[in-house]
Order: sequence, then structure tokens, then C-alpha cells
Amino acid sequence: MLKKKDKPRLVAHCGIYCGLCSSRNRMPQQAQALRQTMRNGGWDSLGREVNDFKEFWRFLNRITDPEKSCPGCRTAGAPPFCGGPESCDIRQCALDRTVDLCVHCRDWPCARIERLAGAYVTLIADGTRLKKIGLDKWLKEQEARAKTGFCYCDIRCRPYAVPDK
Amino acid sequence: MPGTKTKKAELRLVTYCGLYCDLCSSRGRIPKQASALRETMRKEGWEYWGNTVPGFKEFWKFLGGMSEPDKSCPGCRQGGGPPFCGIRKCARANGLDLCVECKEWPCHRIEGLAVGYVNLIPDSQRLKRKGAAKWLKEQEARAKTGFCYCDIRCQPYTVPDK
Repeated sequence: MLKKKDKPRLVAHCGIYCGLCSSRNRMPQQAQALRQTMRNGGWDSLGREVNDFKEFWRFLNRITDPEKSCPGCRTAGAPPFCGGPESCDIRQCALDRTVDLCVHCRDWPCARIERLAGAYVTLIADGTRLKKIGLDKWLKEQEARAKTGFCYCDIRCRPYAVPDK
Repeated sequence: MPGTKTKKAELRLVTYCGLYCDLCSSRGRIPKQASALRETMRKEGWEYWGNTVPGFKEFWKFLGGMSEPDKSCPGCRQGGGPPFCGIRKCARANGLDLCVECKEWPCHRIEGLAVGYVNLIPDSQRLKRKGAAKWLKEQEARAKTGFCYCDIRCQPYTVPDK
């Protein structure tokens, strides 16, 4: 169970649950496994002789930590494909309208959400469910999903784009 | 006794000291784990926008290298392995393909290495007894279990230079 102050932190305005993104729940584990094997193989000392190893190791260490890999788009972090914290139009719109979650907006699902849902095929059904059962229960369901190892990218459809306006 | 050429090909993944390269994590585990991470990052779209993240370009190139066993480590007969290895130097100087064929085996260097690689001496004895072809099949079967030497390696161990 997440702490109260953390509740909205790991849900993007658009309704995506951060714990189901591979940047937080698959990459860090895989990066940790690779780091552990490399440590067992002596790479952290021998690797210094190898070109670019230092840069590689620094980056690998960073992505072993979900909070550094992606702290979520409400916290400094933002998926780089959104172009940085300032440039996700969904987030910007939600901030302008002071809605914590897009599902609570009277215009939901708007054109932007619909476009995003073209790739994140669970987005609208999950948003509808969130409205129905409330955030607490919904978060528990997402945590259970995360435990199965599922990530959105496993079923994501490409290409997709979020309209600017 | 196989011809020299066949023997060379056969021993491609056996080090002079008697280790089987595919039981080293550099070939047996790191490439699989690096490939898994690369696949996840590809699915997440890193190839498209990763270049905007500082350090990503170098990381991605290095990760790609680790994903292939022959790039991660081509084996110590093909330029891989620790560059400073005294055992390889000695075997080459004595014109030997395998240390176990040396009259001084197991020498103090091999014994030093065997402190870390606890299976080294019995495995080499078996290689001598069974011949390379059968021995290699056994090592391949071991590799399929996911076992790597580093799982049971004891520290510290040292291989004397002289």
C-alpha cells in the first residue's frame, strides 16, 4: 500500500500508472541483474581498462534505481519522449485546468487522451474503472498487475502521437 | 589424435589453463542479461529518444557490445581474456595448446588459479582422460543449466607471474 502522499505521485495526469512502465518495473531489475553478474565477474575493477566502461557503468547504475530511471512525470522526471517536464501537452493542460487526474475533467476523454489510448490500449477502460472504484482500490489493482511483470509496452501499439492542441 | 587444425577449432573456447569460455559469465550470462535489458529499452522506445539523455549514446554502444558473446569476450586464444595472464604467456612460450599436456601440470600458477576456480584440476584431468570432443559436450550441457564459474568461485586467489 502506498503512503497517502505517494498516491498521486505514481499516476500520471493522463491516467497511466508509473509502476506499469518498463522504465520503473523492468529495466531497473534487468539492470540490477546485469550489474550483479558483472560485479561477480570482476568488471567493477577490471572494467577500468576497457574503453567507455566508466560511462557505461555510470548509466547502468542510474537505471538500476526506478527513481532515477524515471521518477514519474509529477516529480521533476518526465518520460523523455514527452520532451521533458514542460512539454507534455496532457500534463500542461491538466496543470492549467488544475485537475489532478484527467478522468476528473469534464472533457475526458478528450482528443489527446483518445490519441494516447491508440497506443496505451488500456487507458480509457482503466480510467473509467478508476472513476468507478476510486483511486485507493484502483491503485491496489495496478500494484497487483505490476507484480505479474506486465508492462504497458508489452501490448502498446505503434505509432502514436498526442496532438498539441 | 586429431590434426592440428581440427584441434585448434575444437579448442577455440577452451583456455590454455583449462577453463571453458561459455561457463564464464562474460559469455554465458552477461550477453543474455544485456540482451534482455536492450530488448526492454528498445520496446520502451529508447532508440528513438535516448540520445537526448546524457550518457545514453556511450551506454547503448557498450550494451550492444556486451550483448554478443564474441564481442563481450572472444576467448583468450582470440584476443580476449585478461591481457596480463601469465599462464597463457607460459603455455605459448612452451608451444602448448593446453596446460594439462605440460609435464609440470599442475604447476604453482595452475594451483593458484584453482583456489578460485575450484573445479579446474578435476575438470582438466577429465579432459585428458575423455578427450576434447566428449569433454566439450559435457561443458556445453553444463552451460545450458545456466551455471557460471563465478557462482562458486572462491576469493581471493592469485596467479603468480613467475
